[in-house]
Amino acid sequence: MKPDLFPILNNIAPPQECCSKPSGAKQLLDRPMDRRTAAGVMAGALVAGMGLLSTSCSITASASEKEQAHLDWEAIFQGNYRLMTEDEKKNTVERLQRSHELHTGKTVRVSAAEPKEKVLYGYAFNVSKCRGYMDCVRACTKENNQDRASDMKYIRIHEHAKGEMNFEHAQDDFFHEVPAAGHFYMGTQCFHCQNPPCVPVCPVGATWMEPDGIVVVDYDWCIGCRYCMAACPYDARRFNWAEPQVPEQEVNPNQHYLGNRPRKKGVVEKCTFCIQRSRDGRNPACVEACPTGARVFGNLLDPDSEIRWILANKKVFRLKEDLGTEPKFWYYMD
Amino acid sequence: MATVLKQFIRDAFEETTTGNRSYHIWMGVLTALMCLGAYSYSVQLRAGLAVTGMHDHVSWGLYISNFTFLVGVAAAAVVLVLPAYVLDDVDFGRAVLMGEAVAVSAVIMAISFVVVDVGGPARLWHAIPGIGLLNWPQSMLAWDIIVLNGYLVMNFCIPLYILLAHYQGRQPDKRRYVPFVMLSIFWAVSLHLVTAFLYAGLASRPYWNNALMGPRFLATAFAAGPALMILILEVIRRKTDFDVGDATIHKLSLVVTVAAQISVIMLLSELFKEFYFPTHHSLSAQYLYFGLDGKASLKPFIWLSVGMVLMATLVLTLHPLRKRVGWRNTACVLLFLGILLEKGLGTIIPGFIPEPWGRIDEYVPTWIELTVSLGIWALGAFVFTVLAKAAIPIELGRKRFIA
Amino acid sequence: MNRLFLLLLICLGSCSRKEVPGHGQHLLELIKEATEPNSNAGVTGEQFLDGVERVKAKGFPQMPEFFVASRTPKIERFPCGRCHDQPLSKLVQRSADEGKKAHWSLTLQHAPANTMACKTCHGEDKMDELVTLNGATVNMNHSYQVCGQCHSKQIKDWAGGAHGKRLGGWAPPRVVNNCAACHNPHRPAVESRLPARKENTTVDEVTR
Repeated sequence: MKPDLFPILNNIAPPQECCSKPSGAKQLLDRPMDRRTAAGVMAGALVAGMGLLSTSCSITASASEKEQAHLDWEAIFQGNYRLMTEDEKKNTVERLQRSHELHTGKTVRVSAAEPKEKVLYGYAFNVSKCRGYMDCVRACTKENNQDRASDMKYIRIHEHAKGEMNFEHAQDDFFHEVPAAGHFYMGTQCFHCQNPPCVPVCPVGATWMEPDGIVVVDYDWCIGCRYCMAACPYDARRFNWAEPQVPEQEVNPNQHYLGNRPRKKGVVEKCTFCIQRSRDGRNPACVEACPTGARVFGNLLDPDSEIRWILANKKVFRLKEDLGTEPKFWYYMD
Repeated sequence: MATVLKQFIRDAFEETTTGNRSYHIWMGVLTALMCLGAYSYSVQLRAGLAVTGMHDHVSWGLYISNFTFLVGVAAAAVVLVLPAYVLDDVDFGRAVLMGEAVAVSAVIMAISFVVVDVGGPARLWHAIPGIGLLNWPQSMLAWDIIVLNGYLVMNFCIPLYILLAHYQGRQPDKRRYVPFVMLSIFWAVSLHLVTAFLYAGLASRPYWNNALMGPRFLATAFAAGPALMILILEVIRRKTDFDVGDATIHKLSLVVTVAAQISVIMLLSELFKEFYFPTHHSLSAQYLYFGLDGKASLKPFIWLSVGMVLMATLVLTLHPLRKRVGWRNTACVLLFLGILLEKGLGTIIPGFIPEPWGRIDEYVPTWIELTVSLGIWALGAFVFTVLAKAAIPIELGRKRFIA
Repeated sequence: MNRLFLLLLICLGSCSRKEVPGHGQHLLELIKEATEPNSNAGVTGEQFLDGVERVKAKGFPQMPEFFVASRTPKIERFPCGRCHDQPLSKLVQRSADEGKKAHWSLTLQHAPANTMACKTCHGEDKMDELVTLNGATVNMNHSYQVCGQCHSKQIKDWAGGAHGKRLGGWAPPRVVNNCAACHNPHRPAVESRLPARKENTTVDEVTR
C-alpha cells in the first residue's frame, strides 16, 4: 500500500485530495503496471466482457443494443465514486440515466449533488408523539425504490409496553389498531453515527461518511461481504439477497447516485436520510409522511434550526450511547 | 532450473494421475462432490444469496463459519513448522511437509468460503491494491485478505523449495528459507488472531466483543489442526510407504492434549462470565446453550460439541488411553468434529442472535449452502491429496531429477 | 520482526481518523461551535412549499423568524360574516324558527363543559376573529395564540420546533402548520387506526 493512499481511507476525506485520483477504467489504465499484472487483470475482465464485446461489435445487433453493451462494458471498470473527479461523477450518472432509458424507455434523474458546506444533518424523534401508524415506513419504501419482493424496510417501529424500554420485549411486526392501550412506540433506522462502526470495517472502502454527515454506500463498489452489517449495532443495513423487484410504474425517478437509484443483487444498502431530497433542501420522506410530527430533521450547524432548539431545550437521549458511536439521531419526549 | 521445474511438474503430474483403484475412487468421489458444489454455486450465482438460509439478521452463516474454522486448521501448521525448522526436531521434521500441505489446502478452502459468501464475486478485484482499493489498515477483513494470501504463498513456496532441493538430491540452503519460515511462524499466529479480531473488534456484537476471542481461537485451532494432522498421518502411514513413526504422532498428540485442556479452561471461564450474572450481553450465550423465547435450534449441537470436546480431552489427558491407537484416533475425531461444531455453529451464528434490537431470527442452512460447503471441503481434500501424492515419492527418495 | 511490528503500529497511528478536521471531535462540541445563524449554504426549501399561504408568527420575540401556514383557506364557508350577518341572539332565534342549519351538529369535546364553551374562543360580535380569555381579538390565522393560553408548554415546543409539523423542507424559510391543521379544536383527541403496513396498501384500504 502506498502511503499517499492513506488520506482517502479516512472517514471524511478533504475533497481536493479525493478528487485528485483518477478512477475507474482510467484508474486502471493510467497506473504504471508491469505487463504480467496488467495481463492478469485484463484477462479476468476480458472473460467477463467477452459477451458484451461480441454484442458491441456484432453487425446484427441494433444500435441501442450496441450502445447498451458499450455502457455495460464501461460499468465494469467504474471506479470508487468517492475517488472520482467531478467530471467522472457526471459521466457516471449520465451513463446510469442513459442505461435506464435504454432498458425501460423511461427517463430518470440521477443526481450527483455534492454536500453543502456548513451543513451537518441531524434527526430527532419524539417518543411521546409516535403512535405507530407506520406511514413513515411506507413512504420510505416507495421513495427509496426498495425491494418489494422481500418487503425491505429501513425503518422499524418498536411497540413497547409501558413501564420498560426493553427492545427484547418490544414488537416490531404488530398489526392492530394503534396506538394500542398501554403501549408506546419508537422508531429505529440508520442513525448516521458521527463515529460509524460500519465504515472502517469495509475492506474496499465502499461505504463512508459524507462531509454533511450522511453515511452512504457506493452500490457499484460494494463487494457484498456484509461485514458492515455485522458491525452495525442498530440493524440499519440491508442486503439484497436476490435481484430487487420494483414495479416499473412505481420507480421513483428522482434519484441520487448515493441514494435511491436502483440497486442490484448482492450489495448492501441503507437509509441515506433521503439524500436525493435532503441535499435539495427537502425533508426525508419519513419526516414528510409522519402524520403526528414526531420526526424532525435539520441542519445541526444552523443555530436557528428546529433540531438545534430541541437539543438545547428538550431532554434528549440516544440509543446505545455507551458504544461511542455518536448517533446523529436523538429521542425526546414532550 | 527451468528443466528441473519442467521435469518436476511432469513427474508430479504423472504421480498424481497414477495410483491404485482406491486412489482413483477417492479422487473420483472428490471430483463428483466438487462438481456438485460447483453446480450449487452456479444456482446461487444466478439467484443470489437468497437461496441460502442467511437473512438480514443472520448475515453470515455456514460459509463464514467454515472459513473461521479452516483458518484455525491452517494456522495449526505452525505446531509442526516451529519445532521442525527452528528447534530442528527430527520427529516433527518428518511430518512438516504434510503439515504445510494441510495448511495450503485449508487456506485454499478458507479463501473459497469467502469467495462463495460475497454477493459480488465479479467485483472482488476492488480489493486488489493498485487497481482497486484495499481499506488497510482500518478494515480487519483487509488484514485477513493480506494474511490469508501471504500465508498461502509462504506455505506453498517454502515446501516447494525444500522439495525441489530434495528432488535434485541436495540439502536445501537454510539461509534461503529459514527467514521465511520465521516469518511464516509469526504469520500463522497472526493469521488466526486477525481472524479472531475480525469478530472481537465489533462492539455491536457483545458475544464476540471479548478479549478471550483471540486466545480461544488459537487454543482450539492448536487442538483441532494437529488432531486432523494425526488422523491424516495415520491414513498416510497405512496407505503409503511414508511412515512418520510413532514418536511424531505421540508428540503431536501431546500438543493436541495441552491445547484441548487450555481450550476447556477458556470455555469454562467464558461460561462463568456469561452465566454467573447474566446481563443483556449474555443473551447470545443463553440462546446458544438454553434457547430463548422457545427458539433453540443450536442447543443440541452445542451440547453435542461440548460433550465431544470434554470426552476427547479426558481421553487424551489419561496417558494409558492416549497411547492406544484406537482411543487416540477416536479422541482426535471427536475433538476435530467438536471444535468444528463449536467454531461453526457456536461462534459465528449466535453472535447474530438476537439481532441488535432483540429479535430472535434463527438461521438454518439450505441444501445449496451444504452442498457448496461439501464441494469446497472436497476441493481441499483434493488439493491435499495431490500435494501429498506428489511429495511423498520425492521424500522417500523414489523420484529424483535425472539430468 | 519487532521492527516490522513497530512499523505497523506507526502506520496504524498515522492513519487515525483524527487527522481529518472535524473528525474525532466530540459531536456536541462540533455543534456548539456552529453559532453563525442561517449557515445553510444558501439552500432553500421554498420550492417545496408550493406557494402555501403563510403569515409571520407573532409573539415569540426570543425565536428566529418563522411562518405559520394560513388557516383561513382551509376553513369551509369563510369568512363567517357571510352567514353571521346578524347578532348571535337573532341567529339563535332564527334557528329555533327555521330549523338548525350549518354547524349546529358540532359538539364540543374539548375540556370539561364548565371550563370551555363556544365563546371561550369565538367572539360573540366579531365572528371572523377569535378571542382570548380576556376578550382581545385574534386573527384566525394566528389561532395558535388562542390555543397557547392554556397549552403553554405545547406552544413553546411548537414555536421551537419540538411539536407540530413543518411544511416544505428542512431549509429556510420555516413554515409550520397551525395547531388546528392537525387538532380539531372542537374534538382534539387523536383517534386510533390500523398502521399503514405494506408499501402498496393505502391507509383507506387498511381501515376498510
